[in-house]
Amino acid sequence: MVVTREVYEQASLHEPKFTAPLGLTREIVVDISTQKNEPDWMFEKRLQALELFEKTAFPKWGPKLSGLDVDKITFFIRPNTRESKTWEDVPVEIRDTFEKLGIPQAEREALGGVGAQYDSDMVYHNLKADLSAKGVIFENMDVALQRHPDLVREYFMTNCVPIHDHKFAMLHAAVWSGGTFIYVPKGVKVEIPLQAYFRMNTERGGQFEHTLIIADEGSDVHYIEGCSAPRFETAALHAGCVEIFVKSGARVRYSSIENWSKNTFNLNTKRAVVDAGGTIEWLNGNMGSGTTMLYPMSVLRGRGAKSDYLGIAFAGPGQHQDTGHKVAMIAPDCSANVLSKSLSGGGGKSTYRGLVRVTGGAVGARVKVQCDALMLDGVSVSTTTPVMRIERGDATVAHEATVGRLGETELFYLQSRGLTEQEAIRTLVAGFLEPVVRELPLEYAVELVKLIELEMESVA
Amino acid sequence: MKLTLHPSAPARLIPLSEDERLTLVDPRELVIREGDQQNWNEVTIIGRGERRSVSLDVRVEPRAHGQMIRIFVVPEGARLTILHKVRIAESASWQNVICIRGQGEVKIRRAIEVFGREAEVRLACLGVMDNSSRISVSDEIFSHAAHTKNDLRTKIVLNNAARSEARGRIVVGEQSNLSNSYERLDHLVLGEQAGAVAIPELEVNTDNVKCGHGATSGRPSETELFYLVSRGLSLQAAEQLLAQGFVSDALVGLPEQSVQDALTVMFD
Repeated sequence: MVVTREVYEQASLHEPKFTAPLGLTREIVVDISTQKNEPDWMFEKRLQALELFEKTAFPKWGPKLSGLDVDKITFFIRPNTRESKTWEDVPVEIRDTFEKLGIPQAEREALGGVGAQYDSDMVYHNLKADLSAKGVIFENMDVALQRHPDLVREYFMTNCVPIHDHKFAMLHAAVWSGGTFIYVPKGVKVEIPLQAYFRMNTERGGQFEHTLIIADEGSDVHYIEGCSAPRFETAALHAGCVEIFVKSGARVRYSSIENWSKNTFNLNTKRAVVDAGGTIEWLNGNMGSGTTMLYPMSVLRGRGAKSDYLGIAFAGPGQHQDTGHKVAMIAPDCSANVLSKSLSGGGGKSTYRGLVRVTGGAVGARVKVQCDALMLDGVSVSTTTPVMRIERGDATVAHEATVGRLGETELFYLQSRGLTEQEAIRTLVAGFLEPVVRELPLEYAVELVKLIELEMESVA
Repeated sequence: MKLTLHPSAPARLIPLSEDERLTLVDPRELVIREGDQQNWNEVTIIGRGERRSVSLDVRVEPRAHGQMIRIFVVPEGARLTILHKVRIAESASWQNVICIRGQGEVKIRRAIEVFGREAEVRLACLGVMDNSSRISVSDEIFSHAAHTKNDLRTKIVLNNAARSEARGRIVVGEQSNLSNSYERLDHLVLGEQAGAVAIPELEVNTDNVKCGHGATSGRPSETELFYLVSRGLSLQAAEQLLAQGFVSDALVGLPEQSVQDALTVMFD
């Protein structure tokens, strides 16, 4: 895959088969549910969420959301195709988009299963036969609702991210469409990653995919999400939701590289609930979006549960990346490790906003948080707002943060060895990000580094 | 000399509550004149059940230096509120250390505005809190000028069921190039029922700076405790010794008498 700005920012000419009118109304929510032929309980849940959304004010903290006008967003856009199991059956203009993004190639070379969503619907979904034979379920969320209604009803926006959680979770619950459902049976190890790619193509569009992962006892899975959208002059909205259930002794690694276009508000919710001896590993890259509010959260509710978070955020001209990690410890002997790296340049603003909560039951909790910010020029802004709320005497919590700029000495050294200034800067930035990048599979690491370089060109 | 506040981020004088206004004693306005050096070292014992608010408005003129060390004993049922607003001009320095031995309720709010080049500010709040006492500390430093040095430290020992909420905020303004800022909020938790909240905030608006922060919360090291107990100390004495060491590094450089007073009040 050749990573260029055009790959991400050019819209395809595909004509959708259905486009809802602009704005959010009860009729649109009813229409989404009716078109998908959903069970009554989901229909009721959507309406209840809409009612909550309308009653709830926008958050008064965080980045400015005044540019977001929900009356100018299209909440439901269906591509003119059905979900396929082979790329040949996907309409050529959509297939071309995913070819340019390197998805079919990655599937052939390194993935156990792939889902591809275009606006509101999944257009492709496939899982390798050997994983299917082991009982692994990897499906479009809409399909899972029809095929596994009991499982979905038990876990979908109940006690991980309930529909009343916050304003944008309410919005998501009302208008969600597409996304991924993964179930990994007890003891099954999925050796190669599963991936879903979410692409917004329509101007003034909204995407609200729902990801639900259930890793049963002793299982292991790595799931990767990628996202992008073409660049328009008008605002777009992404308010997805990720719910992950890590059962006893299981491990889930969730990697995501979000590269929405600069006109997008990315107001996403991600949360994992981890049982005894389970491990959740987050790897989160935020490159695109004009405004991001994203704080993946781990709820460690079983003895010995672990959370590991690695995050990168890049805020270029006109961007505000407000990201961070939250961890709540409820059970004994839990531990969490957080490493966040942010870059800001060209007047961009990056904010680390985190929470560590150690409750009275979290005997012997251990938490380490480190956030490093690198400023590429004097007109950008970097802020950190970590909150540590410790309700036990025997908890060990440490937080460390640094804010600085590229070292003059290092730049001079590299330039004296023949590198241009830009090459020297790129090399130092790559070194700054290395602890996070090395945790990605090679092909994704290369893409991430290239994406950062593209963003740095806009700063230069 | 007339001092002008930075228009975009004026130092905020936190308004007093009705109760605090009624109990306000000792409201002071201090001006440390150009080139002067002034030191204060006070020990104040609040009466049992007394409510007291202390308000201070300080102006440190160019090349002036102020050092204020205030030690308070706040017994059970007593309530103490400390409010400081400080403005610091070029090449001036302000050091303020507040030490608390508390069994009651303590609220500290300090807003420091550094708008002179090469000015230096050092704030520390040290506390040993017992029983069901409460301490809430909120310190803010706004650095608007180049080459400033800003240091903010909170170190609180929590015994029994004491609770602490510590918030620190350093804002490095656009003009504050080559400034050096550090903020640290540490809690040493000795009581099983004790709890702490730490919120160390940074806002950096220019790149040519050094800036960092840290926060910790935890029990004394088991290895160090074992070492001291193996040398004949009781567990309680060993914990107290480690607690003294924990707060002592924030007292380095202060006059010997002040250090002795602070440690005596906090640990005897």
